Amino acid sequence: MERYSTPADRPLAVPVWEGQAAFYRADLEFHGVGHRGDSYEGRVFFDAPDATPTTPRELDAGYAGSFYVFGHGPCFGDEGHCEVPPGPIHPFDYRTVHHLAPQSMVVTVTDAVRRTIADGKSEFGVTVVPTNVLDAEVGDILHFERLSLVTYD
Amino acid sequence: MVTPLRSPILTTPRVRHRKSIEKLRPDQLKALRDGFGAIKTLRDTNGFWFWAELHGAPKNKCEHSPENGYDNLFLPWHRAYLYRLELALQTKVSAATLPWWDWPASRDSGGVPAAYEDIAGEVNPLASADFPPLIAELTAKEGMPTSTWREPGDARRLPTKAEVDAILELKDFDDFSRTLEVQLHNRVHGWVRGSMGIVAIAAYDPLFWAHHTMVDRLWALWQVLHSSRGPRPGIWKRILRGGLDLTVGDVLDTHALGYDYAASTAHREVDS
Repeated sequence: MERYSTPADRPLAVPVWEGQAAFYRADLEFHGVGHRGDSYEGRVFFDAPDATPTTPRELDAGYAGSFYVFGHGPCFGDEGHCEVPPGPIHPFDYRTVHHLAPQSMVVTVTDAVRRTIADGKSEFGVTVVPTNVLDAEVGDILHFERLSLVTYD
Repeated sequence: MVTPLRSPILTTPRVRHRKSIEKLRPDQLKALRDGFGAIKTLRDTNGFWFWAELHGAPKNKCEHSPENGYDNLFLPWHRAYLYRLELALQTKVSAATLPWWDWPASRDSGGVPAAYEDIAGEVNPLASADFPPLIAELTAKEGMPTSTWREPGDARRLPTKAEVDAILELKDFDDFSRTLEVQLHNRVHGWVRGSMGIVAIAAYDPLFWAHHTMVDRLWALWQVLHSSRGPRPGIWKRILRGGLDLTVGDVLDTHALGYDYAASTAHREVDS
């Protein structure tokens, strides 16, 4: 995908208990992250669906943090080399995981979540802008299956 | 005169110190360059290509962020990998040791360390490396160069000392390993761009080895700071894949592998 924004009708709930931040740390977990293609930075913003690579990386602008994907690059193999198999081909297949098996990325967003609470919000949206080191948005490189907000108290 | 026998067993084994690339003496930098120059000519198990091809294409044996974040072998695998390449270097040039790339220091000195840049009128084995024919054929097909290349970003985008220190403070090993990998290691690969930004061919760039030595150094510092080896004992018997011939347990202590990290060192022999 070009970029990701949580659907407007399905925001994430702000984790509070009796109106207070009931955690000392909040992580945003991205599961099933693809890593074929170029390396990139996934810039994460809260309540900033129009964020771009030039949006300041500051709490005031909604910036929550980044994850960095080390991309595999193009396929350097024969046909099918970079297609991830669904699992072992039979019970005696002891090979280790495929080199393009999905990964998980964690961004600690404690300050940004505390900010949403301080702003009196009960929910917020997440936007991920895939960006390269030249501050250019890169297209069709961001792929993940699930997003989770996990807090620790 | 009788010459006393000196058994290697009775000689105190010395650990070697891996140093910052910025602080190598001229003779140490020469040893490093000579080592890389020598192993690039080899086509056997001490050869640069033999080790470079293990990480990405064509063998793809490197260990990176697993989906479940558990049993993360990123740090043990790459420690063993560095150790084997360093042994190959030392087989040809005994004084060669792998240096570490001090990312925060490079923010103020232009980015890629000068030792890894081209030198006018000279061949610098650290500046780049040719891909082996099979890989060169594939990169050419993709419209890429047939030897390593770099397209670094603004040096001020390299990690700061504060960012490095914050990660060293993380108490849980899996948390430390995962954050170090994703927030600093991946970021620097992406900062260098070119072949360093592509998992499949990154290890062919000599700079890869200084980058990963920095990563390994941070694990060693974390071990000292937290009085912990890191990986849970349940995986210490895991064999690190790709023919590294070491288990996780084998690589927990850098001293057992014959090295330690130092900003700089000074030694004096004492006559007894």
